[in-house]
Amino acid sequence: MAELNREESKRTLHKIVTDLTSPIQKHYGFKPWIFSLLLIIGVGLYAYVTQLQKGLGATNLNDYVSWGLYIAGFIFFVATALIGMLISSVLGLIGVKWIHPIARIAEMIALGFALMAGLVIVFDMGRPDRAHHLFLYGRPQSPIVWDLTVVLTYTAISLLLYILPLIPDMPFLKKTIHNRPKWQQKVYNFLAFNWIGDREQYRILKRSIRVLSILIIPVALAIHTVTSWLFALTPRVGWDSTIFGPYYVTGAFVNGVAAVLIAMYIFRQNFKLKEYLTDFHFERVARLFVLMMLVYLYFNINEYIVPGYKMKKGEDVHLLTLFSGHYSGLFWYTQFTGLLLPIFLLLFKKMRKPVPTAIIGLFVIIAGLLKRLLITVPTLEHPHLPIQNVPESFHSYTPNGIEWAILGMSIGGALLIITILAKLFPVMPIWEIAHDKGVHEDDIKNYDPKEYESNKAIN
Amino acid sequence: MNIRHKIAISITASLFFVSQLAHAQWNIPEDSKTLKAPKPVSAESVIAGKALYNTNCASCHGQPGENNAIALSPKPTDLGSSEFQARSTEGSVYFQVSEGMGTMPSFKTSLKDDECWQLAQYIRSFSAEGAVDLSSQSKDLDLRLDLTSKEHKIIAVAYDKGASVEGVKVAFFIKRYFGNLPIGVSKTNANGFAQAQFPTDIPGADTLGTTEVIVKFAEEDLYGKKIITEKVAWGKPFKFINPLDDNHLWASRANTPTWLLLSYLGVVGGVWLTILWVVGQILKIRTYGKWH
Amino acid sequence: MKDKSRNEHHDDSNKTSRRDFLKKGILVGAGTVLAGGIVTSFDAFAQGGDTIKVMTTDGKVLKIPASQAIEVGARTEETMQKEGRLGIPGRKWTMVIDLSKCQNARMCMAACQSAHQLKPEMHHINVLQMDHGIGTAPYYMPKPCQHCDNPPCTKVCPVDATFKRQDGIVLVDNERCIGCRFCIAACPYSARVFNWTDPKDKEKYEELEYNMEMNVPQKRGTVTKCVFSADRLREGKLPYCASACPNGVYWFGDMNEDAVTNGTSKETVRFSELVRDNAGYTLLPELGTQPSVYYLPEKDRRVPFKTDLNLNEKHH
Repeated sequence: MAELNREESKRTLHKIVTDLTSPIQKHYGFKPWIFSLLLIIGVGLYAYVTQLQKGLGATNLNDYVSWGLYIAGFIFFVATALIGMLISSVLGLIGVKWIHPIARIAEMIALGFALMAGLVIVFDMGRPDRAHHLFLYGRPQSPIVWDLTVVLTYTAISLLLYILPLIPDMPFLKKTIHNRPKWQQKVYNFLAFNWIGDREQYRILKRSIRVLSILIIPVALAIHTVTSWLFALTPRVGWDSTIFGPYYVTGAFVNGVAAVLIAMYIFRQNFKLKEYLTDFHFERVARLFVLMMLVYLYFNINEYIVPGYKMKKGEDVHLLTLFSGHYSGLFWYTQFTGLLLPIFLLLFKKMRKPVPTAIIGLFVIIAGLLKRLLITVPTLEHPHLPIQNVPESFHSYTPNGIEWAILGMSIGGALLIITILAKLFPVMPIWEIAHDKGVHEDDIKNYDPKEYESNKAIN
Repeated sequence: MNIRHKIAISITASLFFVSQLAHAQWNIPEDSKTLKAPKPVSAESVIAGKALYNTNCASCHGQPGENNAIALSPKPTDLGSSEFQARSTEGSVYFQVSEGMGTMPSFKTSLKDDECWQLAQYIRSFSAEGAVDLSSQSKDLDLRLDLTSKEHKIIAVAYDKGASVEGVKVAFFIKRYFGNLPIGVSKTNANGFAQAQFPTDIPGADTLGTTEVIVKFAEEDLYGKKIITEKVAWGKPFKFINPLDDNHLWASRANTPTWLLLSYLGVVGGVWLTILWVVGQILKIRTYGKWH
Repeated sequence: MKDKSRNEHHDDSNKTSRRDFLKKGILVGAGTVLAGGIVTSFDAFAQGGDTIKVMTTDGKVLKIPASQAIEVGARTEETMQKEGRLGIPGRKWTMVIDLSKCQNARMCMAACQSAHQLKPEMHHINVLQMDHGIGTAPYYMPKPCQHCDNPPCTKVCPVDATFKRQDGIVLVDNERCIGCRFCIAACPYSARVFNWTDPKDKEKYEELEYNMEMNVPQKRGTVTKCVFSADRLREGKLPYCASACPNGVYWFGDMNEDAVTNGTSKETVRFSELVRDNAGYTLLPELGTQPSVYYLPEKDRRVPFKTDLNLNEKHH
């Protein structure tokens, strides 16, 4: 960036601060949004209370399909949370600049979905009152214990990766935001950690971010690989696959990029950030999206064609169910709207604009949830030994209203966390954006909004 | 083994077909009814038949005359009842045993022909014409054990008031947890001796190979219930290897494989130490700001 | 009385021991009991006084006056938990299922369900109708838990709620189980079932102390499975299913003794010989689970196979 002159520098900084902090002060359709989220969560809570009273029998799960929508939802949440690692860490480390306005959005998604992933597991437990047994009696041999460990670790790192770049923004917030409750000011004060913007503080901050960015890569790979192992480590047809780890990880990136595109679009429109989330950014993320989908498609081809070519006894029934049987409609829907069609459409420059990418992202993310249901359920419907002497309803599984309501609550919860974060803190790092636009370091350090208010008064 | 079927089954449905089968009537050919056993009924055949009955029939029919058949539908006939005996002959029972019908299996594949006849003769012994007076032939004998530790031979001596008795069947067993494992039946010779060879490869209860030998009269109805048990150290030495002493993936937490535990703790410890280090850096930023 | 029934069990194959009144297999109704487990001393009720709940070996729970009950070798829940996890030293239980004998009488399933407080759709043991298609003969196959020596289920349990004991039995501790159902997903034999709602006759069983070796009382939100009738083995009795079978399908015993005893005829034979001479096999051996349950092929079946199921229809 070209150096700006002093006057431009100050004005640019003020504009950035105003643009990014005004959504915190003003409400653009905030109340109806929060109200609908709370409504969804309320319905889900009612469903969960019902489930607590009746037991898991309130769902459509049965002794054969004993994992269903909740577990599929869990994979979906973990998958979506993985995006934080891809954007802010991998791309950040190789010095990609255009991720600066997106990184924090990705980190918010990571935090919201990682936190809810932990909760979804509790919703699936037959005895949530015994959740503490995991800490009292945890067995290092169990993939669930590994999963719990990595989910907690990933959440902690994501939290730090969210908080660290937030620190230099705190002085801006302290200076500009006055009409909010006292506790909010206190939060800003606390998270500022006495930030004065000295070089030494930047050095420590950037070093910490770099270390975490490296650390989160294996942790993120572990979180989703271990999630895939919940399936791949069992001797069940359809799960017994050696490529389940990378298959899940690449699927997660597809899901996460889709979520980021949707979030970018919403923030761009609702928070009036068109100047910061430009067509260029959507174009770049869309390219990344295509790349991820191509890799995921490659793993899909391996996962289905290799056993499909051999059609071994046992695998055949499972695969035919997906290709041409009971689940073929859903299967081909997820392959077309979740992979093939988006890849094709995004080849055209016209489609790599904000509105089309957001719509494509929405389709991909819905297909993502359904795909995870397809990974979970059909395998369980085809055990090694026949299903006999049980009610007809044990032969198949479709989630019921209670399960959808509870999953809805979980998604609502993740969105609520993201909303709260977006309402408390700027969705982009003010200091980094200002720096990118050539604002002087001294101006960032000594920013004073009053200067502008008085200037305005003179003009 | 991977067969998968779309199946709607209920237990009631299958019980229904079982009861359908059982409602059919026995159709015993006339010439079978008049058929006679190759050997006439004797104490020996009735006693042999009783043993066969207890093994093959009692689980459903219960004890003859005690009306204690199990609750199948239809209820298995009490074979000691006068109604059953009134419509039966040695030949008809033989036919029923060997052919079976409905839920009652056919025994002609699992039992030898003369065993089927022994069963028929035992069952008919509950009727007036088939009865055998065992008490007139029976006499209480005594039983004594001689063990040869070198050849692992078990020798039983049957005697009556000091005098040895010839031609008495003695049964030899090894005691196992749920029952006695037969290792031989032999008749006493002129000296009253019957013998059995202790098997070479039967596991004992401990590292010494301690095994309990049980000897009794094979025909207890004739010679009385005498059971002699003796501990010998002839079994294959057995040392219990507790699978829980080793570490396994499937074992409990206390037996986590070391490589796994170390990897887990190492990775988790390393990552969390780094996280703590970063938290320390935040505090460093804070301290720096405080003094500048 | 108890001693008598033990002797009967060993020496006289005809008498079952259903006269025993058991609370966890330990409380015996004193002398006032008929076969089938019915309390006849109604006077005691009329006089009032404390009553206690006891469970018969056939799974019925009865109220009898406390004064009428004798405790035999009382075991508290604590000792039951401890011993239940430990198992019986020196043993390695095995079951041999003779498919040629099975004719789908389902007495095993009924005995098991009544002993373990199971609803009709919950099977610790399930008699399946197997059909491998053209060129093969269909057959009935009772399927209990295989009590694998390399069990996929205990591997994945996050809290040590399901575990393998030194005698080879795989048990579930339903006071520990968190209901994640990972073990159900991991079991290739579909041997595990879940208490999706309140268990059968919850109120009736509620006051009983938890016996891990029976997994009774059942608890909502926990997994349950075949326990090889660990409670009965401790008393030297054959499992409920094996004892209930009228057709001689089940052989059960201690592999370390190389002997199995038939649940129906009470005959005892060498385990190794039985399996060798009849070409015994285990289920899904390619999975490497190393089951403790062996099957003898359905050769020379004594009754014809009948089914009301369409066994060849593929489930899509």
